[in-house]
Amino acid sequence: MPFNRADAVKFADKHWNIPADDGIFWLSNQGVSIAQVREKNVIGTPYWKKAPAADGWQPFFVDDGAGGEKAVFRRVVGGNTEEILINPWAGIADCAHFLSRCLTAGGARVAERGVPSLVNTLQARSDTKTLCEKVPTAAAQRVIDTGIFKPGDMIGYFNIDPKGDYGGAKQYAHSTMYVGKIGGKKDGGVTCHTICRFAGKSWVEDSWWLKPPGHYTYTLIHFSDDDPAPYPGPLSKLLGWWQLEYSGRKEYYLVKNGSVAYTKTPPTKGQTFVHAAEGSAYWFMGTSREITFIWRKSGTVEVWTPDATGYKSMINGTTPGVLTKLF
Amino acid sequence: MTKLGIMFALTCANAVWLYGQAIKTNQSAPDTLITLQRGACEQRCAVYRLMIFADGTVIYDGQYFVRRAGLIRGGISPETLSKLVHDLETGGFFRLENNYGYGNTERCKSIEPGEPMAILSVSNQGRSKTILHNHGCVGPIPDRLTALEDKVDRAVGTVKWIK
Repeated sequence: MPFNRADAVKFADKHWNIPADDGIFWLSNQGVSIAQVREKNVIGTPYWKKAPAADGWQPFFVDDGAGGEKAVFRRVVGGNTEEILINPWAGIADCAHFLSRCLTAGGARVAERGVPSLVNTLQARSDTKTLCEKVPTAAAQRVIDTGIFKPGDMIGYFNIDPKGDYGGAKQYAHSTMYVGKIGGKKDGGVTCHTICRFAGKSWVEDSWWLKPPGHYTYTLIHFSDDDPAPYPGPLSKLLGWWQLEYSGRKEYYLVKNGSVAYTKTPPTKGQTFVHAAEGSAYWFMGTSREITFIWRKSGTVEVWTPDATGYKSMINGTTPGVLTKLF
Repeated sequence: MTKLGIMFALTCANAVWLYGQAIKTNQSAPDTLITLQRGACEQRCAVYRLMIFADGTVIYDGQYFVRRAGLIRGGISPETLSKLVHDLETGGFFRLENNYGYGNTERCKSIEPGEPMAILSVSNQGRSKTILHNHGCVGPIPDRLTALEDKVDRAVGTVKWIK
């Protein structure tokens, strides 16, 4: 069943500031069942109180007033909001679980609660393409602006801040789902838990980048089964070896169906693989038959536009290149 | 007593006095207590508490996103503690405000959400002060406070428990 982006985003819109549909949210060391914590002190906190649904108590993630969030039960009595604390900011770690539930709602069954494992699982799926991996903000924005990365796709946040998890370990620390350029988010907005976000509704920054440069690099994972199929005629002309000349350099591309790799070593005729590949990309054919390459390691966006002799190249919208079909 | 003997005795007395002074400067006041609590952040920062007592005893309580969770007893030398107290003093800890970025945002050029809270308390020579510090509060004075918090971690060598 193809991934249904609209269902995933709709689910996120409904659950962005409440526990997901399985009635669980995760702390770093345990899952908390909402049904259980209503009746028992399952976390073992000194502030626990009973919160029966019959008395109007509903679970939320809310602003803790100190830059984080807290899990609470709330109810409104006589116009006043009453609150019971379930867990403060320290310990809440529900982002991968929430994302798993969103993706599952869209038909992509995923059940992860750690971000590194979520990223691994998604990258390993046959219906996803990692468009770029651990790239800086500007590069990820370029990729997002191509429009190939769509609502329902996933962003992994790789910590580069020395104050990040495990004393600044360089690993995936957060995950969100892209929801598009909505809610006043010109760069593109996201949804996630910990901290709760849905573009345009959140009390914290909900543009996809979340934080200023210096905190994260970004990995963009795209569900690809609704990508338009390339036109057969242009496709057959595209496949094979190309030479690209730009800024005084020569590179050699081996274009295959949907992907490409490049090398600085000229190929020999009949060569079907790339020796010492310098990089790889997925490519996408647009409605006007232009080809967009997204290079994984750098987030470079290269567009080949058809012309009388074949194609002309433009790299990151600024650097032109001359293309020659070799064989 | 010969002249030489008198000089030797005076030298020894002076040495003993100097040694006493050295011991004195390396000992922190008996009411010394330093605590540092580091809170949660969106990037899963290490959440832990440290307590440093006047005799150099250290209690570490690792809570979330740390290599070593739970209580660990450690220690630092009197010299290290004395230097830490001196650094906190000269770093102006007792002259800082009680709160940066937690309700009080006057000293913050900007506020970033999702950053950790640090609470540093120091008791020494009859004085006691606690500063709440939201690390999302960006500015020169909060940066100074961050440097003091980091000195506490470095003195203890917290890195071995969290990284």
